[in-house]
Formats: sequence, C-alpha cells, structure tokens
Amino acid sequence: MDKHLISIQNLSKYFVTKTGTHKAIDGITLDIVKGETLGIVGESGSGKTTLGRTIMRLYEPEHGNITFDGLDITHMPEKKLRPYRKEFQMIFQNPYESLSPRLTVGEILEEPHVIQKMLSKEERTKKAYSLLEKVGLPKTSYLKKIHEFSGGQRQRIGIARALMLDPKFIIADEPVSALDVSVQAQVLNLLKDLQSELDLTCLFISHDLGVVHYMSDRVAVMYLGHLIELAPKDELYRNPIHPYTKSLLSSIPIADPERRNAYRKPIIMPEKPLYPPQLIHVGNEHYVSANMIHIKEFETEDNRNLIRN
Amino acid sequence: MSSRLLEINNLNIAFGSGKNVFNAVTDISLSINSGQTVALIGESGSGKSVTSLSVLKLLPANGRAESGSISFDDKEILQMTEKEMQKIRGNEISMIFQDAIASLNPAMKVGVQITEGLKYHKQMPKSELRAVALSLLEQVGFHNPAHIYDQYPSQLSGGMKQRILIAMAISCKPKLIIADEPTTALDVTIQRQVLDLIADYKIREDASVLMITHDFGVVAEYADWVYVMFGGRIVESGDVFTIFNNPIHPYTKGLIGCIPSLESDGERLKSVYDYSFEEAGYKGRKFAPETYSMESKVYHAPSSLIEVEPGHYVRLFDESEVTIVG
Repeated sequence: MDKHLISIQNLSKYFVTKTGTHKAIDGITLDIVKGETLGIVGESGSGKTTLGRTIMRLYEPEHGNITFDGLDITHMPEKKLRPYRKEFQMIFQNPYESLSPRLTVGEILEEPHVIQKMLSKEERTKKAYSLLEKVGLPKTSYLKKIHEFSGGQRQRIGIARALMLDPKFIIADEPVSALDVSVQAQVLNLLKDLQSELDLTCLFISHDLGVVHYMSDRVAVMYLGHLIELAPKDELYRNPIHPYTKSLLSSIPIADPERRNAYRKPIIMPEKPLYPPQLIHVGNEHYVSANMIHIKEFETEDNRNLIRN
Repeated sequence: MSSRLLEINNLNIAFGSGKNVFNAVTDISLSINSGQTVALIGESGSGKSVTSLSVLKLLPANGRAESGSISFDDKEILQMTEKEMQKIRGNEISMIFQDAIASLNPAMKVGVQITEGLKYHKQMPKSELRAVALSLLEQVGFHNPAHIYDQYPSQLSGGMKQRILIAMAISCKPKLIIADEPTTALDVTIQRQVLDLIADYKIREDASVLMITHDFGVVAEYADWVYVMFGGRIVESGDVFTIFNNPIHPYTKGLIGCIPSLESDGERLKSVYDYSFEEAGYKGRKFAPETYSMESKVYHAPSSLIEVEPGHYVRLFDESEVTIVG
C-alpha cells in the first residue's frame, strides 16, 4: 500500500504576462503522506496558493506530475477527472467571496452533491444538516443566506461544504487569515477536530507561522516559487537551516514582553536562483535547498546521496 | 518624569441620529506620555480605529464626539477649529493607515508626496524639498532613494508603500504617531522592518506612538502600555508586563490565549469563551462576549474600571444587572 496520498514531481506553473513569463511555482517535488497535515508557509507571492490550486487541477501545470492515490491526474481530461474531484476539496481564503450570496446555506452545501449526483434529495438534506451540526452551526442556518452570518460562521459553512462529499484530501488556503484573532482560534480548533475525526489528509497553506505550527505535522517553506526547506514541524522550528527560514522565524513577534528582542536576527532575503534548488537530506527527515547552504557541512556518509533532483 | 502628551478623558463617540444612534465608543480614557508607545488592542468593531480618528478629528461625517475631552500638549482638540486642526495633522500628530494603497495618491510620484507636509507646515522652499525627500527615503531603508523618488505607488510593493507612508508621517517630526494596524496586510519579515522603523523614529526623536493592533505578539514586542478594548469600552489596561503576566479580564486572556505559540506542544488554542471572571476570583461577575453582537437581546451592565493593583485597571460586568434589549 502506498503511504503517499499525493505525490508531486517537479511541478511547475508559469503565468505569461506582458513583462514576460512569471514562474509562480518552479520544480516542486513533494509527497503528502496519508493522514498528515502538511503546512506550507511563505510570503505573499511565494507560490503557496498557486501550488494548492495546481494540485487541485484548477490550473494546468507546465511541467511535472501529480499523482493522487496512485493515479496520475496531471493531464486527465476534466470529464474523466470529475469522479475523482470529490476526493479532494478546497477551503478558500475569503469566506466573503467564496460563498454565493444568492443561495441559501442548504443550497450551498448540497450543490456538490447535485453536481456529483451521489445522493438522493432526502439524503443530501440529511447530510447537510448533520454537517451544520458538526461545524457548530444551528439547524436554522439551513434556510438562511450568507449575509446573515459573521466571518467565522461563513468559514464554518465553507468547511462544511468542503466536507459534504466525504473527501480524503483537503486543501485549506489561508482559511483563517480573513478572520479576527479571537474567531481564528475557534475555526482552527474546529478544523483540527474534524481532521482527526474524519481522518483527513490536509494541505494547510498560510503565511502565519504560528498558525501553521499549530495545525501541521510537517512544514514546507516556499520562497519565490521554490520549495526551500521541508521538515517535521518541531525539527523545522527548532533547527531551521535555510537563511530565509531563519529570517522568517526570527521575525515572528513573541507574545512575551520579557523576551523582547531576544531572537532578533538580520533579515536575509536571498536572490532567486535560476534553477529550482535541489533538496538535500540533512537528517531527521529534514530537507533543505542545496543552493544556499554549504553542502560540505552536511556531507556525511549518510547524507551523501542527494535525495532528489 | 516624562510629561503627558495626549490625554483622553471619558470620551463618547456616537454615529447616526434619532433612533439609529450607535455608540461606537463609550467612556474611553487613555493617556500617552512623551516617549511612550501605547497599544490599543481589540478586534474589528471594538472601536479602536474610531478612537484614533477622533484624536485627529477625522471621524466620518455621521460620527461625533458626544462628550469628554481630548487634550494634546495641553490644548483641547475637541474645541479646535478645522483651521487649527490642519496645523496639527501631519505636523504634530501624524497617522499611518493600514491600507497603504488607499493612502497614497496614485498619480503623484512618491518622492513628491512625502514632502507635501514639509511644504505646507514648514514652508520649506522648493529647492530644498528634493534633498529632504531623499534623506527621508534613506531613513526608511531604501538604498536607492533617487530611483524610488521618481516611482509611482503602483510600481512599489506593499511593504515599500508602507515605508513611504512612514517617511511621510515622520517628515515634519511629529510628537505623536498614530499607527492604525500598520502591518496587518504585510508578511512577517516586512512587518518587522516596518515596526522597527517606527520604533527607531520614536527613540530618535523622543516621540510617542499610539499603536492600534489586534496582535498581542506585536504588543509584546513594541508597547510600553496597553489598553484592551471590547465593544467600544476599555476593558483592561496596564503596563505591558502586568497585562501579560497577570491578565484578569476574560477577553484579554482570550486574546493572549488564541495566539498559536511556536513553543506549545499541540495544546488547544483558547478563546474568549474559555475564560471567566470566576477563575480570576470575581464571583457574581459575568462576561459574555456574544451579548455584544448586534442581534443580541441580552446585555450585561459593565461596571466602571476598577484598579486591581497600582496602574492595572479592569472593567467587571455584573451578572445581576442583565438587561433584555428590545
């Protein structure tokens, strides 16, 4: 049995603009293990969202492969792909824009089933009610429209919609960045509960390192369209290697005035390398871009083989 | 002893008229000494931005200060005419807004924009403006000021635009900078650069900063004194160490508890609902955040601020005094 739910190899997506080709993501190789939450962090413009959307096949990739549960979906035609679409769902960043203002919550929740033609009308409705309960909304929400809900409630509806088809894989693209901090915590807790209850595999995209730390098992750092560092959560946060990861981590304000300025390091924003970096294994499942570091430091017997190219 | 620069006393701000009056800010008192960074923290709708706008008399047309006083440098702001206010805005008090894109003129070179204040307030001759603009751009961390001078806002990134706003805000050497969520839209690395610039200016000129934010991380790094706002009122205030080491109000605790810490081992995030006055030793007090939503029919009457230890104030809510509205 393959333990990877999603495997992507050398994935690239370019956008052609007036000023030239913009390589939004370039040569990304990444596996997502069944049942894990993989966090993706990076600044705005680093390609996090493009990566998520390309995996969802909302964008057509330029190069590379996407394998979902052993099945190559990279260039699968939309018609053939549709039955698989129910397996991977997305929670969008802005619940003010990603939910239709014209539909009732019930219609929003049932729409995926109308498209996938999986359940009868009664079963659909029952499912919608049970998910409303699961995300902590009152039953009366079913007949209401979106404008009657607050941001946090809307995001709960977005989560319920993503779960309607019992997906295996969820991509959450900045699901809390449009919410107030006090509401953020509730939505994050909900996501975490649902994920363990339903045994979901999750790609969690956020620019907020604290949020990613809370949600993820492993964390990947993106920078200018490249994947530059990947490690289990605690390993990455305790022992960052890439200078950009270090800058990111030391820039986070610490909610403790006693330790003001304790971790200050100069911010280093390296130039974008011409080619996608090779990731090398430095131990503890910790991979880091070889462009930026002195490979010699890590050249032990075990690490001599480059893991990827 | 540092002197009092800004003092707001019992300020009430209301919007609308007749039946549709909405009290955005109720009974706010806060003070800022010179050389101090004061944080006003709360979520959207808590009235923190309205408070800061009232200091510059920039409230929208349907909003007004109903009662109270705002004194800046021993002058009463609420009594000032528009003409007098114009001498203060950008000159003695300047503001950095959250939305850098909306705060800059898209049809004007940024170098020209940042010297508008100097032209107006300091009557600086045209011949000197360019040199001053270049030095300001350098102060906010641009390595090639001559190039940036000729750019239009659309040619700059979000962080660069925010730095242009800072250059503009410090051009007249104000005594007070009001920064209204200056970094909310920015990445952490840029956030740090922007906040450091404001902090550097503060130290260099012994100026004061009123920082409006919802992020307790930012407060911990930069503020000396903290006011926590909820539902248009101050619910807790004190120096930054007191607020972090001994928060009492459930809302303050909730705001601190809901930040995912990088050192936690997966313990659940807390929210405002996970704390009560009871655990802080105040029996018979209740804080129910949902009663503040617009549709709510229940309302807990808040007491006045109580000084629980020297300099540490908390507003308690009486369980007994529950009013059913409408």
